[in-house]
Amino acid sequence: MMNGFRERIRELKAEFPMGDSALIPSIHEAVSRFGALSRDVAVVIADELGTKPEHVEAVASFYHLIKRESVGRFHFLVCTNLSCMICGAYDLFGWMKELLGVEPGQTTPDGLFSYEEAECIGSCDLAPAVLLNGERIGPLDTRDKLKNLLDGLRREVGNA
Amino acid sequence: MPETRIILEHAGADGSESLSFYLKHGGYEAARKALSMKPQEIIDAVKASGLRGRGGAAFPTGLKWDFVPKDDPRPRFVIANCDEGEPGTFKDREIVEKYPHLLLEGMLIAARAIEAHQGFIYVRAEYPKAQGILRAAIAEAEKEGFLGENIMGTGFSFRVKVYGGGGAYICGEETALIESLEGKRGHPRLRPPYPVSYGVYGMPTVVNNVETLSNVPFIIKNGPEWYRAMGTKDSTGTKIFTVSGGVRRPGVYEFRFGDLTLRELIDEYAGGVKGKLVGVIPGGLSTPILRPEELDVRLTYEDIQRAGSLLGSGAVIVVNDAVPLASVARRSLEFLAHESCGKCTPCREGSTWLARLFREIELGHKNGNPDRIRHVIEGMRGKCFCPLGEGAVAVAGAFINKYEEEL
Ligand SMILES: Cc1cc2nc3c(=O)[nH]c(=O)nc-3n(C[C@H](O)[C@H](O)[C@H](O)COP(=O)(O)O)c2cc1C
Ligand code: SF4
Ligand code: FES
Repeated sequence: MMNGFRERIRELKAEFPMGDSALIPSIHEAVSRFGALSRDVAVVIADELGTKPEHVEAVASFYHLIKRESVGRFHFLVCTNLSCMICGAYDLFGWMKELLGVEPGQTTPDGLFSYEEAECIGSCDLAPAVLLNGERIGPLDTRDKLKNLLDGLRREVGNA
Repeated sequence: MPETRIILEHAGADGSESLSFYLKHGGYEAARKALSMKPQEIIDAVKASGLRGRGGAAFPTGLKWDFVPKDDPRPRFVIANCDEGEPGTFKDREIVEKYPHLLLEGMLIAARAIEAHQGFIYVRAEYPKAQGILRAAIAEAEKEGFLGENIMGTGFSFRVKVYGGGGAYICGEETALIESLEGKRGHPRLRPPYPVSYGVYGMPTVVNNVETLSNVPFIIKNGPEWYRAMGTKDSTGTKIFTVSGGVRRPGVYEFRFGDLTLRELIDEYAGGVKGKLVGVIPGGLSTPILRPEELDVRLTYEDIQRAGSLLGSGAVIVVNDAVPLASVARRSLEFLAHESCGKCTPCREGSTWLARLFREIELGHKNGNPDRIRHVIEGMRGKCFCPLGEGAVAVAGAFINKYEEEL
């Protein structure tokens, strides 16, 4: 598993005029392969890029969307910035909590869902909006809309 | 006054993201022309057009390109800034998701002007779809000879790479962006030296906003006089506005500068205010709020500045009475505190204090807090390392000075 990953880092390194630029792309690659940036993976990245694992972690920790712990299969970024707040984002956040039964940052026991509060996700025309595994969804301005969305996702998994 | 859609004319039509669609609508003709021009002729045309940066700072684009050192053997770079983290802004998303070749053509012309052979598009982590569309567009353009080696048989080469950010608003600031692109934490650099002489990898680098670069093909194709004829003396061409918040029709609108006022944009295009109007943030969260009686201002850089705010990225956030104004103020400062990169003390500590003090007001504890806020503002003003901290000063000041009674 790590072998393929090492290969990929080397490829990324070759794509840039300077290898340092491959650090963040390598971290993204790690998160998409392994779900989060663990210490073991940071060691591998550091080794390939000629730096220290502490540096890899220090860079990763600067960026809000780089996962350092794993999340649910469906991860929601719930925007509560101005336009979404004005359109009811705090209600939406409350429904999230109520319907999923877990706190932000936690994952539902079935491993399916997690959510966190986010800054503007560039979907203010869909306010109140969420980013669901990178996909823009909105406006989620009623509890029913959110409930239907969650039910749909559960069905999708059940049918698969 | 109707919309004037130039950049967005075809964006969103069926297949508008494809190369074949783009070519059918005159795509890459401007680049072909630019590749037959001398680099200085391109720079002079962009200078003559009056084009100013659409990323927030409104710096003249041609002048920036002209600052790249001429007799300097170092490689040069072009960076398209698609970080678009300013709350309220989603215009660059519209361009890159629906009409990506327009940006690529603009970058190619910029590359020719400063003789760069490598470009980057720094795209925020929140836009994975845009990243995919751009990668596909680059691959298509390379395959058909519009990017890569020996472009259109002219011998010129230019490659473009998409670079995905990690979720940090400060990385939209051009020097923090460059640090991030070099694999570091996104801390702004001291300027000068400016990126045009010392940018990515220490090489001359032009950083432009996506919308800025998307104007360039039209300037080259139709000439600077055609472009200058739109707008006002100091704000030429068109501007994309994104309207959101307490309005009936949030969305993306493109107008010639000065064709309408902020109030007309909200009432006649964005469907009017939902509920009671409290204020309007005209250029994204980091720009000072305007009161309801301040909205009869023409949409140009200079008019909005005279009104005491900034056109910024053109993100119009309409604040109504759906939530208390104190919550809007608190959330604004909370954002800036959260996104403060921590490099300098006045911003790191000051923005956090401002957020806390507005939180107190939101909770109904007004006693003395407006004056405490003014005190923190004075401690920060002119002492922050980059415009994020100074933005916090201006934003907090506008809430407290314009709305002290209502808060
Ligand atoms: C905190 C901060 C965030 C910024 N974010 C962006 C951004 O997301 N996109 C952008 O184009 N410019 C942003 N800028 C402005 C850039 O520093 C830079 O001026 C711009 O990319 C230059 O391009 P332009 O001249 O074409 O506007 C930001 C500036 C600051 C201080
Ligand atoms: S003003 Fe704020 S964002 Fe800018 S360098 Fe200082 S701490 Fe970082
Ligand atoms: S404010 Fe929520 S997406 Fe922009």
